[in-house]
Amino acid sequence: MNRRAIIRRVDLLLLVSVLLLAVIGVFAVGSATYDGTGVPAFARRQLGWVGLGVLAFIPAAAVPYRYILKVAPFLYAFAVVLLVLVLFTGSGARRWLAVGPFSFQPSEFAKVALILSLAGLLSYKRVTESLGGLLVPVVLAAVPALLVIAEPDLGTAVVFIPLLFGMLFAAGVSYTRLFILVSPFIALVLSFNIWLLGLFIAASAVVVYINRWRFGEKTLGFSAAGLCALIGFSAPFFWNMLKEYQKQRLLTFISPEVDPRGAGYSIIQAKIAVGSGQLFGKGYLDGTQVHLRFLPEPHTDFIYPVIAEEFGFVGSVFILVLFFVILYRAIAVCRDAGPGPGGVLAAGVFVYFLTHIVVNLGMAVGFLPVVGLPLPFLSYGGSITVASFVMVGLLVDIAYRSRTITRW
Amino acid sequence: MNVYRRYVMLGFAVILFGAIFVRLWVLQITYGAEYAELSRINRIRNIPIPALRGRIFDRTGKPLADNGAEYRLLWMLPATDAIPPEALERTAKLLAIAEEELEQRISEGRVYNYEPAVIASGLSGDDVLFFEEKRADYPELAVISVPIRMYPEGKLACHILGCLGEISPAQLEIMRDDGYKMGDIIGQNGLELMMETHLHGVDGAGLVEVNSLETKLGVVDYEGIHPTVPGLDVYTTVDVGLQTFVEPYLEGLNGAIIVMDPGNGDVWALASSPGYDPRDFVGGIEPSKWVELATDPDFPLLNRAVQSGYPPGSTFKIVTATAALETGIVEPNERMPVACYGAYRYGRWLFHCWNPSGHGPLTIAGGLKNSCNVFFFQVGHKVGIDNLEKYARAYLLGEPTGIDLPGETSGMIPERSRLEKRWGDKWPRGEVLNNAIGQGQVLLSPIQELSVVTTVANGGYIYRPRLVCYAAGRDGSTVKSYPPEIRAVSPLSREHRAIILQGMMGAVGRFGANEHYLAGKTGSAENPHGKTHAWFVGLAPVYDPQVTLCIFIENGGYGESYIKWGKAIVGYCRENIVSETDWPEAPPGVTPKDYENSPELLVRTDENP
Repeated sequence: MNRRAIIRRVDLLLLVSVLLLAVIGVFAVGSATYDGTGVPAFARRQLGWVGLGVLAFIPAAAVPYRYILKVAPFLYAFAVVLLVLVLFTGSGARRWLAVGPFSFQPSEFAKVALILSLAGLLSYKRVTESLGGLLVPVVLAAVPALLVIAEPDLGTAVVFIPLLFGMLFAAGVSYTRLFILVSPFIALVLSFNIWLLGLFIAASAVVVYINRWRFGEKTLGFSAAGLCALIGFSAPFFWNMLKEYQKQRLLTFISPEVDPRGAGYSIIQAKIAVGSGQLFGKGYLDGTQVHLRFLPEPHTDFIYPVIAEEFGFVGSVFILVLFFVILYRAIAVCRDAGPGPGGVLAAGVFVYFLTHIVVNLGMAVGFLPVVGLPLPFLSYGGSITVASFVMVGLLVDIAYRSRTITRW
Repeated sequence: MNVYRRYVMLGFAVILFGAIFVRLWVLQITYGAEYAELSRINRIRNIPIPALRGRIFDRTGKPLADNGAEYRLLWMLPATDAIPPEALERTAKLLAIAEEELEQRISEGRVYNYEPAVIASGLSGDDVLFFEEKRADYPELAVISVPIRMYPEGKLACHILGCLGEISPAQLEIMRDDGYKMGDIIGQNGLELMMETHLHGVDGAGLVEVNSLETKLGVVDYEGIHPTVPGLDVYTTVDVGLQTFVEPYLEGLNGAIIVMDPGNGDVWALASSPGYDPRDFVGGIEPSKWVELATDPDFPLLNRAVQSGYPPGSTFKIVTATAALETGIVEPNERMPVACYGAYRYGRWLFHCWNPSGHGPLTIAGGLKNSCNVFFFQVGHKVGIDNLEKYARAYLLGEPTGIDLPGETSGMIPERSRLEKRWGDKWPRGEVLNNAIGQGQVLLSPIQELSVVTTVANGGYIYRPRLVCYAAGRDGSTVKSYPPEIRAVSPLSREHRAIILQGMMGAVGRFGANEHYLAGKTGSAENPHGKTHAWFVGLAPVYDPQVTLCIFIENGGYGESYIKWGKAIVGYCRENIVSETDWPEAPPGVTPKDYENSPELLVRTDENP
C-alpha cells in the first residue's frame, strides 16, 4: 500500500479532534492553576503527559489489534497484580503506584486491560449465548472493580459496570439475559424501599417466565431473581454493619447534600461558573470563579466549568462537539469492523469515553453527584491522559484494518 | 455488529449529550445573566483556614518546633478596582513611606488579583495595636494573624527536624487523595517529612463576606463549614541539652556526632555539620538562599550521620574480630603467623601497617588495642570474604538501620558477588585484606557504625535507632506510639564480646582516656579526598554501658584526636541524662587497667544473650 493509501485509511478528523482537545486541556489546566506568575508547573506537566500519551498512541495504533488482543489476558493478569500491589504499597488512599520518579493509577490501566480482554472473550459464542458463559465476563469485570473499591475509590469502580454491560450489549447478548445480569444492581439500588423492591422482583420473575421458551435456563433465571431478593433484602443488614465513616462516604457518594465538607457547595459554585460564562465567556484567565478559588479541584474534576466560564456557551458546546466526534467515530468503526472482536473493542472504547464524559460533565453542570472521575484529554493527570490516547490508538488501529471505511 | 444495537448506543450518546446541551443552554443563555450577577456579587468567599501544625518536643518536653502567630498588614482593595488616590495618600503617610513604594508593595503583595495584598509582615504587638486603633479611619487596611512555624532553638538539630516547603506538583498528585491541595506547606525533610501524616492537621474552611465597594471584611462564619483540626504533636528521644553540647564541636568542620542509649536504641543527639537554618524555609525559601545552599561545596543539606556512607577504617575491625571469633577461625589467644614488622607481604603486594616500626606478635584484643593492620590483614585472609560478608550482615550492615529520617543510605559491605561482577573470576584476592581494616569496598554511615557499637555494648540486641517515641493529640492522648524495636540479635557470644570490649578498653586506655570507663575504637580511614577521615566510636561504662556514641569528621586526620570529645560527651550524659545516681558503680577495686588485662571480668552474667 502506498503512502497516500495509508493516510486515506487513517481517521484524520478523529485525530484532529483529539489533538485539539489535548491542547485545550493544557491551556485549561494552565488557567485553573495560574497564580499570576508565568506558566504554571501543572500546565507544563500536563503537556508532558500529552507527549507521553502520543508516544503510547503509536504502538496502540500501529500494532494490529488482533495481536494486542492475544496478549490481553496477560495485560489483565498484570493489571490485577498491580491492583493488589497498590493495596499494600500504594500511597495516597492507596490509589497510586510509584515507578521511579513517576506514579500512576493502576485502576486506569485496569480499565484498558479489561476492555481488551472482554473484546477478545466476547467473540466466543460459548460465552455470549448462555447465562453460565456470561458469568465469565461478569467475574472478569468484578475482580478489578472490587479491588478498586478496596482502595477505596468507589467513583472509578463504578465505571466498570457500564463498561461490562455496554460491551455485552455490543457483543449481541440477548436483552433478556442482559436484564437478568443487570437486575441484582437494580435490586441493590431499590433496596431502600421494600415495596419497590418487591414489585421489581415480581416483575423480573414474570419477565423470566414469559421468556422461558427462548432459552432453556429457567432455573438460572429464577435463581437470578432469588439473588436479587437476597441482595435487596440483606442490603439494609449489611448497611448497619458498616462503620459510621463508611456510611458517610457512601451517602456522600449517593447524595452530596449530606456531605459535611460541602460538596453541595462545590456543585453550586460549579453551576455559577458555568452559567456566568454566558454566550462568549469571560475570556482566558479571567474566570472569577476559578481565580477566586470558589471552584475546588479546578484542574482535575472541575476542569469543564473552567472552560465554560472562560469561553462561554460557544466554548462549552465546541468541547461537546469534539467529544461527540470521538463517540461518533467509535460507532462508525464498530460498523466497519463487522462481526468479530474489532467491533466489540470499538464499542468498549465508545463506552469508556461516554462514561467518563457523561459522568464528569453531568457533575459539572449539576446533574450528578460529585464523583471523582476525570474528563479525558482535559483533566490534569498522567494515567487518564495516556489511557485515553491508547483508546484512540485502538480506534485508529481497528478502522485502519477494516474492509470498508465510513466517513460521515 | 447488529445495526439496531449500534443505533441504540449512538442514541444513548445523543440523548445524554442533548441533555447536557440543553442544560448548558439553560445555565448559560436562559439564566446566564442571573448567574453572571451571582458571580459578580459573589461576596461569600470560601477561604481555607490552615490547621496548626503539630509541635515537635525533645525528651524533656522542650519544644524543637512550635507554632507562632505572624501579624500581617493587608491592603483590602482588590486589584480589579483602581486605587483611590486619597486612600493611597493617607496610608502612605501612616506607614511613613513614599506613595510609589506603597503602590509597589501592593502589586507585589498579592497572589490573586481578587485577594487582599500583604503590604507588611512580621508586625510587632505595638504595631498591631496601632493599626487596630486606626481601623475606622482606614477601611482599606486590615491586620490578620497567620500561624507560622517556629524553631525556638534556631539552627539546632536542623538535620533531625528537616524543613518545610510548598507541596510540589508531583507530591500533590499522590497526596491529593489525602486532602492536600495546591499551595499547602508540607514537611520536605527530616522529621517534618517523615512525620508529615501526624504533624499535618486538617485544614478548615470558613466563609468570609467581602464587599468590594465598602472594602470591609466581615467574617460570616469563620469556623463555618468545616473547622480545623490541629496536627498531632511528636515527642522525640532527642535531648536538647546534649544536642546543644555536641553541636559546637562540629563548628567549622564537616562531620557528624551521634549519641545513643544502648539499652533501647534511643537517639539522644544527632548532629551533622555544616547545617542550615530551618527558619529560612518557613513560608518559602528565597531563591538566592536556596541556590547558595544547593551549590555549597560542603553540602549543608546532606545529613552526614545517615545519608552518606564513608570508609569506616579501623572501626570496622570490630566486625572483622566478630567474624574471626564467632567462626572459630581465630582463637581468642591465638597469635598470627607473621608478627607485625610494619608491613605485610601478600603475593606481589606489600600491605602497610599504620605503625612503620611494627607491633610485634598480637592476639585479637591486642590487635584491636593497637589497631594493628598487619594482624587484621592476616585475620581477613584466614576468615575470607564470605565470612566477612556474613558477619557484616549479622550486624545488619548493608541495609538502612531504619532510623526515622529520610534518604538513609544502605552503605556497602564486602561482597564476593560484587567483586565477581566487576572483575570476573580473577577478582583481586587482596581486596579482603583491605576490607578487614575497613578500606576498599566498605562504606558505612555513622549511624550504621554506631549501631555496631551499640550492639556490642548491650550484648547483642540490634535496635532500630529511634527518634520518635510517640505522637499525641493536644489533650495529651497518645495516638500512635513507636516502641523500641529489636531488629535482630547478633551472634556474639559473651566470651567473645568480652574479648572485643577488652580490645576497645585498651584502644582508649592507650591514650590514657579511660575516665568513666570509656571503651572505644578509633579509625583513620584513607579516602580519595585528602586527609584521612577520623572516626571514634565509644561506649561507657564498659561494665554496664549506659551510652554509646559515634564521632565522624570528614578529613579530620587521626581518630584518636577525638577521644577527648567522646570523654566529654559521656561526662555530660552521666551528669545530665542518666544522672549521677543512676550511673552504675564500678565493681569495687576494679580499675580500667584491670579490664584491659582480664577479659573474664567483662563476661556478662545476667540473662541477656
